[in-house]
Amino acid sequence: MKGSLLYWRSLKHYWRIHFVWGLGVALTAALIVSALGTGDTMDASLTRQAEARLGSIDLVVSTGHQTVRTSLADALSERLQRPVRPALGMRATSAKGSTVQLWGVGAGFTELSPIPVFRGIGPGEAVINATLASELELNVGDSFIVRVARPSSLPGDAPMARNGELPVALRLQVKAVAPHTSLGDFVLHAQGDEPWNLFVDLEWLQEQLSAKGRANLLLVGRGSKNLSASDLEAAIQQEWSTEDMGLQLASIGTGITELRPDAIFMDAVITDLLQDLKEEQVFTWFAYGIRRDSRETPYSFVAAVDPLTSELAADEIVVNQWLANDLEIAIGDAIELRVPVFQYGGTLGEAKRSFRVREILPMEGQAADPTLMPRYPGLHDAQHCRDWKPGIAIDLSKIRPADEDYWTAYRGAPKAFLSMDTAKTLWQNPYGNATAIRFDSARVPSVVERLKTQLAPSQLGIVAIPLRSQRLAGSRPANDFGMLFLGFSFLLMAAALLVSGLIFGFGILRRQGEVRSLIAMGFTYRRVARTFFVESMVVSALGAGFGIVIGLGLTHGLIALIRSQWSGVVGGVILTPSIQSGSLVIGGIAAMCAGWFATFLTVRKLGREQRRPGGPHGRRWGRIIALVCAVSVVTLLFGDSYRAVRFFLAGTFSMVGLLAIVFEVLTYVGRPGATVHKRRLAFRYLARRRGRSIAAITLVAVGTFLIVSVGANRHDPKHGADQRKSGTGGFSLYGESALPLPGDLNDSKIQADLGLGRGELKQGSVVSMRLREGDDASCRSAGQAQEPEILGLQPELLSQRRAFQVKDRLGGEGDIWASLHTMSDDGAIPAIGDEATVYWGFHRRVGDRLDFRDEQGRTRTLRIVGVLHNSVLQGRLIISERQFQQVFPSISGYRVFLVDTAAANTRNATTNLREALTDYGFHLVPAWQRLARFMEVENTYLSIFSLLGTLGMVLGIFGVGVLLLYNVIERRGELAVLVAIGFRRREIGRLLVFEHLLLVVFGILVGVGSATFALYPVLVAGQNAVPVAALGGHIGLMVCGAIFATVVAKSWALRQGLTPVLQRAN
Amino acid sequence: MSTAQETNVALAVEVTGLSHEYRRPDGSGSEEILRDLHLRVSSGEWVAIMGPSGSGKSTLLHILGTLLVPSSGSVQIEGTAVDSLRDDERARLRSSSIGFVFQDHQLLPQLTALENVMIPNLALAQSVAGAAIRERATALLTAVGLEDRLDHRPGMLSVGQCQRVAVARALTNRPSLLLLDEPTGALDQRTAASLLDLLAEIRGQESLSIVTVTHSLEVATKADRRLHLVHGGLREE
Repeated sequence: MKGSLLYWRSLKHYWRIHFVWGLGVALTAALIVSALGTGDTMDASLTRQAEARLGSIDLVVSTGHQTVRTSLADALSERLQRPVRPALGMRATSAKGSTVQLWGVGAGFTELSPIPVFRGIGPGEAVINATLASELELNVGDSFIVRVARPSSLPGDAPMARNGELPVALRLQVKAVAPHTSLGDFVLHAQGDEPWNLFVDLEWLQEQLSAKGRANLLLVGRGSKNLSASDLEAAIQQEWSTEDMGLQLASIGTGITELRPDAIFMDAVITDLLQDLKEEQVFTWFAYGIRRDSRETPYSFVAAVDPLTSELAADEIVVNQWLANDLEIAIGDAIELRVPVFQYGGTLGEAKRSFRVREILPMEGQAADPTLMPRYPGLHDAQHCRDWKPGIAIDLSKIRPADEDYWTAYRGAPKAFLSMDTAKTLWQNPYGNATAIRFDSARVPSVVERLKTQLAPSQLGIVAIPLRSQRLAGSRPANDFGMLFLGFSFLLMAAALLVSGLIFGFGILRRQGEVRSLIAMGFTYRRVARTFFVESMVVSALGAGFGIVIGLGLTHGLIALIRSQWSGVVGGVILTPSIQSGSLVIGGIAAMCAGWFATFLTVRKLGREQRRPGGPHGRRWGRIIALVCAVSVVTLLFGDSYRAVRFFLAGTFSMVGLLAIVFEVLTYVGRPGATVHKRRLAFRYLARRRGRSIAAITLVAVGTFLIVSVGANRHDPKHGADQRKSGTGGFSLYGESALPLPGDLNDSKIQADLGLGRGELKQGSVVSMRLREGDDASCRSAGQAQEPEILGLQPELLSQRRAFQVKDRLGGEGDIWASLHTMSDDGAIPAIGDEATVYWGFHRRVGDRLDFRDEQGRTRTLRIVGVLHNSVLQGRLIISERQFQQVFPSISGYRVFLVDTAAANTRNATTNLREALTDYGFHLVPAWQRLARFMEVENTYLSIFSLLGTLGMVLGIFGVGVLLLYNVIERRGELAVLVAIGFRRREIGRLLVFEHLLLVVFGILVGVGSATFALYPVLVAGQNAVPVAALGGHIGLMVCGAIFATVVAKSWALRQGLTPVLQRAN
Repeated sequence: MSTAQETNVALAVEVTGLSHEYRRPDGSGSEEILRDLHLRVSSGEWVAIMGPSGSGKSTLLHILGTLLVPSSGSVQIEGTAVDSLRDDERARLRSSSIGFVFQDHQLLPQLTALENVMIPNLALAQSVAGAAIRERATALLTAVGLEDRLDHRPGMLSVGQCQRVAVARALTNRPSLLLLDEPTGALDQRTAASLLDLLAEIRGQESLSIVTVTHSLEVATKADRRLHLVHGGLREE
C-alpha cells in the first residue's frame, strides 16, 4: 500500500470539489494567458506594422522646405552601394477637404516595397492605400482630384511668399489599391490613425509642380552594411552641389560670379561661412516709396553693395540719376524711405527713415544694374509692373507710366543705395542678411569646395533620419498591454480564486473528520496537509493546462473584441493574434502558484483550528484598523500631487476601514442579546463566521468600487466644454490645415488675403499655432513616440484667456503659459503638454527633459514645465512661438487653430472658415469633438475595466451563492433543529436569503462608500458628471442578480443538503 | 480526583494537575474547562468517564490522545511524558501506542474497509508492503465480523459496520491504549451491545487499556472503573 493511494483515491472521490477548484485555477490561468497574449499580440502587431510601413527603407533624407536634385539620389546610391530613391512628399487636400499625404515616387520605389504594387504608375495615375480607398470610397479606375501647393524655396509664412498662387489641382485615376502589407502605409512619423496615402509618378508630379528634377526626400534602402545617420550625412557632403544647397552661381560678366540663393535671402549659415567675402555681399530689398517733400517714387529696390556704399554714413544715401530726376533731388537733399519691416509673427510693418543724399550716380554700372535685384518670386520674372505679385500688399494704381518705363529699361535695378550696416539694421529678418555674394570668378572652385566640405547638410535642414531604427524602437507599445489587461483582469482573477478557494475550503471542511481521523492514527498535520497540497498540485496543474487552452481562445476573442468594439485603444494597429510560448508558461505557472497559495492559506487555517479550536479574535483590531484608515483617508484627500496613486490609496484605505467597521458591526450585533428575533439569527451567524462574511463582502465591495469609480471617471467631452478650465480651453472650434496658413487669422489683412469676409470672425478670435510634425504622442497612438510633435504659440494668447487646467507644474503659482518664456540655465526650452502626452506618450514628469532634433539636425532639449489635464492639445508639446522660430526657422505658417466664437455664431464661422480655407485643407471641428476622440480611448479602457469589474462582481455574487451552500451544509444540523422545533422551510429559506443578501448589501455599501471617499476630489472639482442614474441601475441589476443567485442557492441547498439531516433527525 | 488502584502496577496513563481552558468565541476572555485534574489508568484497565455535556470529557480524551496540548499539568502515556514531545514525536506516539474510535466512525470515504484498516501503517512510512499487514487488517476485520466486506467503501456499509471498521482500524498498530469517544453514540441498542462485546473480547486478546467517554450506562458498566467529570475534575463513582 502506497501513500499515493490516498492522493489518487481522494482526487477521485472528491472530484466535484476538485473540478470546481480546477475551474477556478483554469479561469485564472486563462485570464493571465489572455492578458499576456494580448500584450504579445500588440507587440508583434506593432512591429509588423512598423515593418510593413517601412518596406526595405532604412533611412530617409528629409530636405525640409527646400528641394535637392534627384540625381543626388543616384550619386548616393553608387557611393553607398544600396538603393537610394528620390521622392516628393507633400500634403495635399482632397475635394472633400481631407488631408492626404501625396508621395511622388519613381520606378525605384517598387524595389523598396515587399509587394510590386507601385510598378508602372503612369502620368495622372495614382496608387492609393487601403485606408484612403475606404475613406474616400475609391475603387480602381475611379477619378478624383487633390490640390497641392508648389514647393517653394521661400518659407511659406515669409510675407513675400503670399503671392496669391493657388494650389495646383491634380486630376488622378486610381491605378491600384496598396494593401497594408505593402509600403502603402508609409509614414515619416508615428501616428495614431492610419495614414491616407496617395502615390503618383515622380516625374509627372515634378512637371505638374514646376519642380523638374527636384525631390524633397531621399529614401535609402537596406544594404549589406550598417549605415548610420551621420554616415549618410557624410556621404551627402561628398556628393552634394550648390544646387542642393539652394544656391546658384551665375556669371555677371567681367570675371565676376554671383552666388545667389533660390530664395530671396541668403541663409546666415552661408554668409557666416563665407565671412572672408563679407565685403562682396549684396543686400537688396524693397521700398514702398521714396519721397522728397510731396513727390514720391513708388515701389523701388534699394541696395547695399560694396564698394559703392562702403563709405556711406548711417544717414547717407546714394541715388541714381533716374530717381534724382524723378524726385528733383540734389546732393545734400533729405529724402525719406518707406520700407517694409519684418515683424514678429510673419507680418510686415512699415518704417520711415530719412537720409541725406550724398551722391547722384549716372545710369550706368551698379546704378543701373538689374542683376542686383534678388530672385524675388512674383517680381524678378514679371514683364510689367502690373504683373507684379510680390506677396506683400502693394497698390498697383500708384504705378506710373514712368515706373513701367524704368522697369522696361532697367528691370529691378536699385534706385538708391545704403550702407551695409544700415541695410542690415533696417531690414533685419529671420531669413538672411544678404541677397547675394559677388566675387572673382577665379575663386569659384575654392568657394564651392568650402561650401561642400565645411557646410554640414543639416545646417541647411537636410537631415538624415534613421527611420527604421526609430520606427522599430517606437513599435514598443506606449503602454504595456499585457500588464494593462492583467490589471483589468485582476479583480476577475481574485474573484475566481476567492470563489474557487471558498469551494476548496468547503471541500476541506467536509473532510475535517478525515483530518481528525488521520491525526488520531498518528499522521502529523504536516503529512495530512501534504495530501491536500498534492491534490491541489494535481488539480492546479490540470486546471492550469486547461486554462492555457481556454486562454488561447480567450485571447482570440479579446483581440476580436478589440478589433471590432475597442479599436480606439490600439490606434489603428491591425491586430493578428501572436502569443509567445513564454506567456503560456507564465500564465500556467502563475495560476498554479496562486492555486497553491490559496491551498496553503486554507490548509494553514485548518491547521490552526486543529491545534487551537476557537482561534484568535481580532475585536480590538477592527477599531484600530478603522481609525488608522480614517486618518489615512483624510490625509490622502487633501493634496494635489500623484492623484492616481492617492485615488487608489484612498480607495484601499477607505475600503479596509469600512470593512473593519462592518467587522465591528457584525461583532456587536452578533453578541448575545436579551431579545431573540428571527432576523437577528442571521446576524448572529454572519458574526460567528466573520472572516468568511468579510471575504464575501470584500468581493462584492471591490466590484462595486470599480463600477462606481469607473462610472464617475468616465469623461463626457461636452461636460463644461464652454469653460476655460475644461479640456477644450473654452474654445468652441478646433482647426488644422494641411497647408500652413501664412499669418495670424485675427489680422484683418490676412483675413482679406485669405478671402475671409469680415463676418466670419467678427465676434471671435483665433489662437494660431505653428506645427513641427513629429510622432503622435496622444493616447490614440499605440506606439512609443520618438520625435515629439511640437506646437509653437504665443503664450499670452492663452494667458489672457486663462485657458486649460494645469495638472502639475514646475515652481509655484502664477501664469503657467508665461513660464514658456523662461529658458532654463542649461538652454533647455520650456514646454507644456497634457497628461496623456507627457506621462504616457513620453513617460516624463514635470521637470524632466526630452531631446529632439532641430531643423539643422542639432540635438536640443525640451524641459517639461507644466502638465495640463486632458485637452484638445493632446499628442504634442507646446513651446513659445519665439523658441519655435529659433529652432525651426523654415517651418512656416500656422497649421493648428483654436477658435473662439460666440455660441450663436459657431455654425456660421465653421461654414465660412471651411469654405474660405478649403484650398489649405482646412479641417474644422467643434473643440469638444476633438476632445471626444481622445476621451474615447480612456472611455474604452474604462468600458473594458467596467466589463471585467462587472464580471468580477458577478463572480462575487456567485461566490455569495457558494457561501450560502457552504453555510447551509455546515449548518445542516442546526437548520434541521429549526425545522424540528417548528420553523417552516419557507421561513428558513427566507432567513438564509436575508442573511446572504446582507453580505451583498454590506458589500455594495462598502464599495460605494470607499469609491465616494476616493472620488471626493473629483466630485468636489466637478470635473466629470457622475452618472448617478446609470450607476444606480448598474448596482440595482447586481442586487437583482444577487437575489436570484441566493434564492437559487437556497433552494438547491435546502433540497440537497437538509433532507438527510432531517431524516436522520426524525 | 481519581487515583490508581495499585501503585505498583504499570500505568498506561498518568495525568497530574491537568488544566485546560478555551477562549470564548466572542473574544471576551477564556473559560477553564478542566481544572487541576488527576488520573491514573493501569495497564489493561478499562476506565469509563461520564459527565454532562460540555463538562470536558472529549477535551480530556483529546488531551490523552495527544491531539490537544493542555494549558497546564502533565500527561504520561506508557511512561512517556507527552508535554515535552514535539508534534512529530506525539504523532509517532499516537501511531505506535494509541488507538482512537470516534462517535462518528470518521472512516475515509475514498478507501475500502480493508484500506481504512491498513492506513494507520502509513502514518510512519510512505508506503507499506507485505502480506503481514494485509493479513493483520483482514484478521481484524474478520474479528469484527466484516470478513465479507473487505472491499466495501464506507458509503456501502451501515453505521454499525463502519464503527466496527473504525475499531479494527484503531487496533491495527497494536496500541496499548484505546480511546473511545462515545463509541456507541450513533448506534442502535443492539449494534451498540454487539460492539461493546467485541471491544471486551478484543481487550482480552490484545491486553489493551481503554479509556472511554460516554453518556451511556451500558458502556460504562463494561468498564472496570467509572469516573465522573464534574466542574473540571474527576470524581470516582
